[in-house]
Amino acid sequence: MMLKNGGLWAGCFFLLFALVLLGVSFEYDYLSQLGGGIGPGFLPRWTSLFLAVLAILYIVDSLKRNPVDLSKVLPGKGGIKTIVLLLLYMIIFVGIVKYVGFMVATTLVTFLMFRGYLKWYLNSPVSLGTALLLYWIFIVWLQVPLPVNALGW
Amino acid sequence: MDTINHLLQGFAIASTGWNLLYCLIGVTMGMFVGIMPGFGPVAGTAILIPLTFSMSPVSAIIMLAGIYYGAMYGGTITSVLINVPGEAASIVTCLDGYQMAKQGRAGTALGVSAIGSFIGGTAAVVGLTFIAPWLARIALRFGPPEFFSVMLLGMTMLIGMMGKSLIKGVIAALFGLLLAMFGDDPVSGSVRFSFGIMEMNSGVELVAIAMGLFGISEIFICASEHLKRQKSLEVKKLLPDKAEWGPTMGAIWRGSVVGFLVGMIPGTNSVIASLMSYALEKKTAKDPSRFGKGAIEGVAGPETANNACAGAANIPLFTLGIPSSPTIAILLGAFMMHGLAPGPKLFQDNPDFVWGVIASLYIGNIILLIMNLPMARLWAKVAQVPFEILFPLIILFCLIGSYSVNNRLWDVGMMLVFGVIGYFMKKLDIPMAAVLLPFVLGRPIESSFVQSMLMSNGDLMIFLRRPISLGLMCFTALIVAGSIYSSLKHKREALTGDLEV
Repeated sequence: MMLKNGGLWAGCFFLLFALVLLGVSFEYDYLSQLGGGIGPGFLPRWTSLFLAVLAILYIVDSLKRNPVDLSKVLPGKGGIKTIVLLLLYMIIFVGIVKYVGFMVATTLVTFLMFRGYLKWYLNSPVSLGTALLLYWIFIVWLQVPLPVNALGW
Repeated sequence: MDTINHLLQGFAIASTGWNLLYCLIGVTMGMFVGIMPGFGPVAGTAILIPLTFSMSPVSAIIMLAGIYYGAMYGGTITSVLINVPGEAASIVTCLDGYQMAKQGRAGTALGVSAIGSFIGGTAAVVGLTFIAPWLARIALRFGPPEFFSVMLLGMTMLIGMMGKSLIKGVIAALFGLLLAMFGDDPVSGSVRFSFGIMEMNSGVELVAIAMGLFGISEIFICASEHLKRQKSLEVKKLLPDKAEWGPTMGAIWRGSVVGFLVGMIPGTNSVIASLMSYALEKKTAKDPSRFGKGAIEGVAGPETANNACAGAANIPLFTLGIPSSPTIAILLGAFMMHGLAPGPKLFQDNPDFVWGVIASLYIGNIILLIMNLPMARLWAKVAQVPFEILFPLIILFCLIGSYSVNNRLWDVGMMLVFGVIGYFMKKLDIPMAAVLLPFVLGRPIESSFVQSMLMSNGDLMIFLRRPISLGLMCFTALIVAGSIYSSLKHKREALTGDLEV
């Protein structure tokens, strides 16, 4: 039952984050070598310590007074499928854009995202048109150096 | 007289063809962002930052600022027509605006909002024009302890007024503050928390965090909840009846004052301004029972206040370099990306930039008035764009935007990570806006703290020995005490959750 408490998981995430940073903060000087001042380790140490304490308080609060049902936090069956697909499309974009270039990657990812909403014969020109428009805005007009293939697109 | 001359010079800069175009793009994007429920000015501004890289700083900030105040106008449309606020500041407008729409008066509600927004927004810019230079002169006397105290105050106010749980607000703020400590230390230059990853040497990118927390996470939320567009009500006559002009104008003037005063205080935001204005209108009305049933003052006052607040929020940014809301924090990040350091010296060192941007705010408000009065019906149609078309486009903009900040895929990955974190934070009512402000202020706050410590040989009492710093610290302590009290007495429910997202 305790493991189905969303607050517990969130608290643990922040606690872990704080403890890792607290541990690493000991590698940095606590006081400045110039004398009188504080070093690069001072604020990270205290901030992560405070975060760790508050994360523990949050965990206690969510266990004792304000439990959050994990099922309300996690998306439903249909929702999780959509989210995973969207994440997958974005990861595909990140994975291929360096090799195939902006135009191909954008057309493909747009096509995948519009799939199910637009029929393929409409989706294909819309995806290509979207990629072309973005190419023109970012690469031609604004000269943003986006990854392109050997042919320059 | 000096101010007028500077302002005229500013108009000369802001009214060049390109700057007018960028202002138009900015306010149009702002309107668009405003009418898209769940997609607010923070994500909108962050997404457009990469578009500005090849622009001059003045053009860039003219466009980005336009998104913020444009969104305040746009947020009204969906509040009135489909009872869904496009951005948080328009929540109050739903109460009477939607009731008016159901009575066949959607056009009047939108018309009154547009007029109020224009007057409130313009009044705030007039205030900015005359108060900011004076405040900047005072702020020139500030040293590191004063800057540290004022930044601490801004952060405390934001956290103190945010969310239903104080613990969650502080956790979010400390999370943001720690994220700001990744990368090179602003004083000693030593690299912290890089974990041997080269890309982490420069820290976590603001645009990646903002797009992830406020853009990608919203898409995940909408996907998980299967949101569908609702049919909007019809827009007819735009202006109020003759008898309604008196109470409407009264509400507009009161809203302007409330919004302006709230906007000037670091850490407050336009949600508070519109809530305060609504409460004031209800209190001053002869028949308060009309409120919630389509009272025109209930639309005019809050809509004016949120625009006045958005305009006035530029005052702490321009004079002290302190963002008063998450969107202004993004704007501050954009200043830095363009090599500008907001603060009191900005008026001295970059007068063309400052006055060009201020003049553009006047122009932007006029453009928005035109967009909202004669073109209200068109925007009502835009509000019907299906999510299935909209979200892929937003995702593409986020992917391109996060990549182009540093031309590396690492930032795209970071954006996705923060998108997932943002999803869970939102579901668990952990205020995301409280992450962003401390993240942006993290480096300046650390610098001013370290410098203060060096000045005092490590004595913390330096913050209490200097009168301005002492006053600010006392105010901070009061807010902390008030927040703890409200938390213990369970009185935080009245405060809004996540603001201006």
